Amino acid sequence: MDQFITMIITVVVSLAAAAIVFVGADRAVDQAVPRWPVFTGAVGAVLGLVLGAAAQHNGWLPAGPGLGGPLKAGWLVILAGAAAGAALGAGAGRMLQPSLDRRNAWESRLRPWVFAGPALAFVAIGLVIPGLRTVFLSFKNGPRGREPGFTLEHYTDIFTDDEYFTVEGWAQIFTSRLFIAGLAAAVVAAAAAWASAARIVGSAKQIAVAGRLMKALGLAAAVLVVAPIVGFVESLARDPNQSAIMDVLTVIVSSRVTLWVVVVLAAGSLLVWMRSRIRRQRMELDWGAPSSSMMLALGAVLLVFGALSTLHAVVWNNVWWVVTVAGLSTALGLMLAVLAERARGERFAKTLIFMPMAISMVGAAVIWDFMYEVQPTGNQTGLFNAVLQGLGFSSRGFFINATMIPWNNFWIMFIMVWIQTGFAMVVLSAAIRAVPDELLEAARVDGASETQSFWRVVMPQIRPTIIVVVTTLIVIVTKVFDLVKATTNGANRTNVLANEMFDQLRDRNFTSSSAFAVVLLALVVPVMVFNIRRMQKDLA
Amino acid sequence: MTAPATIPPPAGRRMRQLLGSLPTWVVWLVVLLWTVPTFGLFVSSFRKVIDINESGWWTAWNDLDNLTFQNYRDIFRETAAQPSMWEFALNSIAIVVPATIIPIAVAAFAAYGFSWMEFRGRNWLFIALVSMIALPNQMAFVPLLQLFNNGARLTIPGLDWTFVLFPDLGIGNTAAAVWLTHTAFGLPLAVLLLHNFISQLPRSVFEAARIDGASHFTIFWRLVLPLARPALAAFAVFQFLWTWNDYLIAAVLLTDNEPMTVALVNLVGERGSNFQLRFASAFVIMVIPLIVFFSLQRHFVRGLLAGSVKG
Repeated sequence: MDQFITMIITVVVSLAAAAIVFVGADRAVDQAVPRWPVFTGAVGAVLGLVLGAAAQHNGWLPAGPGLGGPLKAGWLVILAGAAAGAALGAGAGRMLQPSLDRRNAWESRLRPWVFAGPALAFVAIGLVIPGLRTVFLSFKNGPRGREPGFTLEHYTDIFTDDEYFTVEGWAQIFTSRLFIAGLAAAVVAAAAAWASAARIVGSAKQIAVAGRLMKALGLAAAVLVVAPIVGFVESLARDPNQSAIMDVLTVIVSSRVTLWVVVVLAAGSLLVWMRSRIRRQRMELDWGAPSSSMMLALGAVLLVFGALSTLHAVVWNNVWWVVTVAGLSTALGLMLAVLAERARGERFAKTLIFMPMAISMVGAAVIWDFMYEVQPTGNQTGLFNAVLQGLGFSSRGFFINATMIPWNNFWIMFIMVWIQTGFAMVVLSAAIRAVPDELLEAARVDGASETQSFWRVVMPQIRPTIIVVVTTLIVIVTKVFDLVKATTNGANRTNVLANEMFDQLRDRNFTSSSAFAVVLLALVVPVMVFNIRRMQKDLA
Repeated sequence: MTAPATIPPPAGRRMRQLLGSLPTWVVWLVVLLWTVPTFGLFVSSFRKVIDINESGWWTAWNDLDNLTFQNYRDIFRETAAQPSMWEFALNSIAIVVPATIIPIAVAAFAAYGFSWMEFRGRNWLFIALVSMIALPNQMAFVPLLQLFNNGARLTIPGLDWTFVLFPDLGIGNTAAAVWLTHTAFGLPLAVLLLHNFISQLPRSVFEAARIDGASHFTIFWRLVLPLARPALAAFAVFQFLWTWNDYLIAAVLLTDNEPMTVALVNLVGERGSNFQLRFASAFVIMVIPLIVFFSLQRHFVRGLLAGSVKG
């Protein structure tokens, strides 16, 4: 209770003090035109205050009986400094009075700083200068950064430790099942892009070929979509190592034959593209077509998943988090935004999907930890394991089983998807609403089906918003910390950069903690640059 | 006789109806998956330890008499091992209230200055300020911790002369340190939100007020603040949820007088003992944000949109 009362008093006092300072500054600038000496006196008082404080804290005053005694300890030095500054300022202002024009100029030049100054000062002292100091500290010797000299040790420590960063096993990426499936999806996407373009602008022969190609591609796409889903479900139902379908898929997908077929296809499509470039024919590729853009997205997801689940180190794990959560939340949010428009009870449904945004990540971790709960014997009390048990499968520890690595990461990431999907859905559905009706009307008059008008009219219109959602999510997810802390605390290869940074800070290894923060910053720098470019364009 | 002719249309219509209700089914399936976990936690918070460990929460319906308020009574009772949740709740409030009010006050002035005052370097400074949204908080922790605990000193190399840049105000490990940190971290987004709103107010209003001789301060106080109330509310909801739910900043800056999130993580850490208390605690932490969320959802959505959709 004491703390509570102290809080109220402190808040009231500090707000009052801030108000006095702000109104005082505003009034002082008001005086620049009518009463110049008052203005210079106020400026002098502020400078004197700062100087007095500096003198007091640095012990610059001689330690004589008059000055060094009681005066030095207290606020009197500071107040004396202010008074002296005010007197000096007022005197100087009385002697040197600039012309009315100059005084007007002073007033309008200083006023914005009274308004914007506090915010700028807060951000400078609380973010910019500490940020620069963190970069500085990350190059300093010793754990606390107090020892003289600079070093790259903290970075080399990160990038030579296999736990944090390694490219070992990168060759396995190319034999990873998901990666090959992703490659196949990319080839299908490219072929679909060509076929779609050919059907629009191609010759009669091309149209016929494209029509047949599209049918074949539809089959291939269905296989590519269904196979990973079935594999996923099956590996959920049984241990990944015992999954029959996964075994068959593995045999099919990782056999040399498949690998060669995919490689030949990929090389073939590259060759076709190159040939048309050399002949200076512009190859028409329609990436905006529903089939090609969806397959491209699927391919990208599978490629990234294949690559990042193979590489294992904290840095890669962080990247995996960003790609998975930003991608899944946006895709799911977009899907829900579109479907909710046609669903009954739209508003209520949206509110409930949006609700996890209000729940703290720590709370979300407790909720989902309980969902994933596993009991060694007897009844399963976690919902997921109970479902598995009810269907007759063995239970699993989603976070802790060694057989789940690295997919235990996915189950933590899913908690974040649960939180962020509502955000993506709300923002994207507002963007879809904002698409002008005339555009959709025109598309309908031209005979576009609902699917076509979504992919060809709505998607290009909401593209900027999708980019904003994705960049916002990238920024949020890069620094993910609470969820990992409260679920596994980084055990079983689920560690992320922010958690490692926190642990180093707890151990008072300030310099290596700073180095982790800088690596984290490096991951978001592209987003920062992109945002700055965008704002420059908006303000220009 | 007409029966064969009339059979196909209903079948087709039924098919179309089925397809038409597909979105509803998919959306509500997602809603189910999205709400069941929270509901499960809520039910579990009323169950006894034995029940929690032996059967799933969905079986609680079989024996409603077994539900109890004991967990809630336990977390609000002070024991030797664990202080009462009230204490953590008060700590949370002591952090959240100032950490919400201060950034709004500071940001409103700045947003007005950046929207309606001309000065050199305005766009440049605004972009620099707002681009700090993407800066990971982790970049500021070590220096801020040092600043709050020791102040800042600069040693001039060569001269070996140490100069106090910022005095040690003795706010290390206090709620004040947490407010100031939240203020600095929240300001970029606050300025962006309020600027997007305030800069869209009609220019004629300001011109008329200027002609009538109103000063910038009067315009801000009498015109901008009342007009910008929706945007202020939007950011207030935002900042409230963010500070209430924050774990990282409190965990870095505080070693005692922690807020509820830190208490919950400590509780989760002790597996086994007090296992059943975490559900009740997690729910207690969620209650206030959920009330705020459901009652002020309109403002929250507006804040989200203003922050991410231009205009």
